[in-house]
Amino acid sequence: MRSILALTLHRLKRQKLFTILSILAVAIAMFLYTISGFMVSSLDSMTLASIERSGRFHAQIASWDDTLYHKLSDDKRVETTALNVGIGLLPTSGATSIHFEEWDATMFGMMGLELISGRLPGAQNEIVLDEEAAAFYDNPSIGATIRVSVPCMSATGEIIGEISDTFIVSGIAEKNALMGEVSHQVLAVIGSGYVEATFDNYAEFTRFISLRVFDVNSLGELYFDYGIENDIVYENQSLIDASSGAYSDSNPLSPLTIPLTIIVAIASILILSNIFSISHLSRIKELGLLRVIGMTNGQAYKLNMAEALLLSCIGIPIGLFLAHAVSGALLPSILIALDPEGSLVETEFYHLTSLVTISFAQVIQAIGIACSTVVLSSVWSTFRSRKLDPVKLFVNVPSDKQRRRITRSKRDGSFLSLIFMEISRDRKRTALGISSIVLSVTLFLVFLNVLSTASVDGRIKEQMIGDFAVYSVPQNGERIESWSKIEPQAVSALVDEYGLSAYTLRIIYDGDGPRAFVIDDVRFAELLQDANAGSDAQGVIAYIGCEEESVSIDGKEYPVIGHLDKTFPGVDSIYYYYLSEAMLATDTVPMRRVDFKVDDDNYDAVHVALNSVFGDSSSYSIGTYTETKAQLERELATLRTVIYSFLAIIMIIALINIMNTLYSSALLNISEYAIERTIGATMSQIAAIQLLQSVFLAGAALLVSIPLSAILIITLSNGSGLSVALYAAASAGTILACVAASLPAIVSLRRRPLIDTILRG
Amino acid sequence: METLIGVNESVYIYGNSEAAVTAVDRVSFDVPTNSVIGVVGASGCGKSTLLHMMSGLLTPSSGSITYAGDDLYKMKDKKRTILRREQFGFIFQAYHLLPGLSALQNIRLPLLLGNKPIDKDYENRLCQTLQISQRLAHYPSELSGGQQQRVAIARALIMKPRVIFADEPTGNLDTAAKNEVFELLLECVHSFGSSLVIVTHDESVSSQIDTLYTMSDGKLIHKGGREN
Repeated sequence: MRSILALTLHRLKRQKLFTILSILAVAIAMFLYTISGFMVSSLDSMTLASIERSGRFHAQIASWDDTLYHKLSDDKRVETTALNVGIGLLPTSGATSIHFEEWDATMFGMMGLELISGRLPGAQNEIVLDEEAAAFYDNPSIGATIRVSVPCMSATGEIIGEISDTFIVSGIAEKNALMGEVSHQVLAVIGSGYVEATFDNYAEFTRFISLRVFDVNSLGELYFDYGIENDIVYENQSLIDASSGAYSDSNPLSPLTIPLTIIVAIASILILSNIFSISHLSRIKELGLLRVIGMTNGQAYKLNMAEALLLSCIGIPIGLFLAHAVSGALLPSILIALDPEGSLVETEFYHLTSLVTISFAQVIQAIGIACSTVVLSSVWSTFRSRKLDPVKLFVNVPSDKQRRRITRSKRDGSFLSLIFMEISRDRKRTALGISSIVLSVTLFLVFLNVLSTASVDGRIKEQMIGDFAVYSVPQNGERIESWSKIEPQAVSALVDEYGLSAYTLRIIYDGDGPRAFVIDDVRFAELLQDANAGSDAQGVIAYIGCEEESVSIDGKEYPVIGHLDKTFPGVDSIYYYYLSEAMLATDTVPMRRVDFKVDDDNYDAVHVALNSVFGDSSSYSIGTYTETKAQLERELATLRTVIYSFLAIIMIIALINIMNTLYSSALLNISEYAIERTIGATMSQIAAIQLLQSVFLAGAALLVSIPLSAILIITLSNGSGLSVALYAAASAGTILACVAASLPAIVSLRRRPLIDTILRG
Repeated sequence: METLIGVNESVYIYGNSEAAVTAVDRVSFDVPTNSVIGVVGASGCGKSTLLHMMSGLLTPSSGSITYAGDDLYKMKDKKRTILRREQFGFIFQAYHLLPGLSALQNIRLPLLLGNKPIDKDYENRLCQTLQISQRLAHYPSELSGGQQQRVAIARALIMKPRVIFADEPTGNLDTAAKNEVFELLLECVHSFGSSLVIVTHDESVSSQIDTLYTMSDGKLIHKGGREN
């Protein structure tokens, strides 16, 4: 074994170029294996965060009756850790009442603003408030009585009553992180826990239930136990997957990991095989000599394997280091350069740390695949070493089989015969070169698709479509229309039309037109207008503290028909949480911020109003519509830049692979070029021969790789593909890489004495 | 006779500093037109290096090589390349045929590179003289050593060069083939009006060479041949 090792080291030291190329190829393969897994998992986490942020409900049951509701509330008080119940529009006539029979809710509320949190440990009419809710109720002492009341309004906006109940505070609990569903409906009971109540005289068609279930398995139980038919349920599958941890199974990126790894593996094996076989051919006489003087087949086998493994030992750590350097140093540098304050990256949406971590499992997996790649790559040259006759190896006489294979070209006397001489003479090597290029191009294009279309634009579009889902409210127990989705273009139009500053919009239809719009939490004025299917609002719900009897909105006076919380002129939406002075005044909600998005024209007025109420506080910030939109665009631009950085790396690697393969092949021809030079070929003629050979190989490879990539991409992306420009760019890059790969051999030919090149190659 | 190639105080040193080896040491001589010049000597005496310098393949460390009065190594590379293609012919010990081309394609290669028309009569005469007319469709790997060398001679003569440089042209051949090839080479040179510079370690050919130089340790030490 020591002699084998010594021979191996001797060969590697003597053939420095081959050694460097091989190490480079192994390192690249290792880098690709590691980084591809890392990229997919990073994108996973980004998409997952996105889904979690935007998800509103796990399932929405469009039709239910009181019996079902009672069954749900009775039986699921234990199993269902969180349950949001939303009740639709109230009937326009008839008595309406609600009676809270029993509850174990951690949070419930009305109108999207009236939120309290709590749970009832046992006795009826007792409540344990969480800290936030306690702050809302001015931190009541234990045993104090609080009154929960919600206004009830008709579909036309008329106040038709109030639902209220009285509870004894039996404890203050830590704040629950859950946020209740905020709905525009005139009456909405929001509970993130168990709520049981009786609703009287509610028309059946007005009801729907939103479930936000944290033990997602209980969703299935709910359906099964209560006979809820699937066709009346709209599930938010993304959120269900995200909550259950099954996201990676349903993530369209995950299935790509295997084909990507296979493509990387085949490309790497071909490239390494090419390098090994070229090395093998260039040393065939030496190998023949060793066989003549007594090297056994087994020793020849070991020699090749030892060489391959030794190269792995050097190349794999280099590849690992590169992958970590790129993910751990380069990527954060790019992000920091783009976003020095970290405001775009270090948000609740994207965490820098999650973007730069390569897991230990990924490393082990990559090492295993890389070792297998190297061993598989050396199989062909090893097989040849063992099979060939030693004397023939030594004197380099072609075998009868090789003789028969020699092309009897009909081309004579043409310049083309020189160009195709090498290509047609060694068809295996030509096929190997073309295959390497095909896989490099395919690899690049598939990565391009995965990273750009499927991951950023595509995923965001998909997410937006989900968030902007248009659905119908069943009437008289029957569905008016099926659940449908709208295209992003339509969403954009809506965004423009209504001047939305965020992309969570829900539109509810009742068959005659849009019944209401819900934009994040509440959009007050438009809410009332739109609730009347386009007619003018009957009135507005004023903020608590507003003593006016009417409010002027867009130059029109609206009667105040109810009171909410505060008055902030120009504020058209409140994000995330209900704002109260008590909340802002206390430290019990330190992590919560209230963001006001206001029209550009009203910015100053809002700022003055907020400042007068709260003074300088970090608990709120004001952003104009323009600023908000710009921030979103910056956030997306940062993400895209990161993705394109990855792509640039992948593209460089693919090009290096192509250059590596062709450069190795070009070096084999260098002796023959020197002979041609000796008998009168000019450098430009040699350059033309080599360049045309490379372009031919690139062209042949592109003819295969472009359709192959297109099929793969369209299949994997469910029909969406890349633009023609991207294919053209990939083709141009490949041809340029092939041309560039020809240059070192040509330069070497020019710099070295011809006779030296002829004799030594 | 007119001087075709002039070798003037030419030196070639391999390597540098302590490991430097002077392969050719201040050698001077002329190659007249229509002459056969031979350089003999033991292996490693520098004769091949001298031939490579004379033929424009290896730049001398010092001194100069002229062709028709012009310094070969002061010419631009392209001009020197065209000179090699049109005025010089090369024959190597290892033949150096291109394995991917047939014998005929190898012979025509200089014409192809120079974009010259094929003179079929001349080509046929050349192939008949060299007795390879029946082997033109074969590839180098399908030819014997003697046949390959005859193809190489045909390739060297196809452009009707003024000088042929032959580096141990019979070194890989057995005695019978060696004599046959050498005689064919001389016949061709005389028939087609070229000069021949031949490097060999076989002094038995001296009787057929006009001027024969003996080389030792990089220096020309003796001048012989038919003219002397």
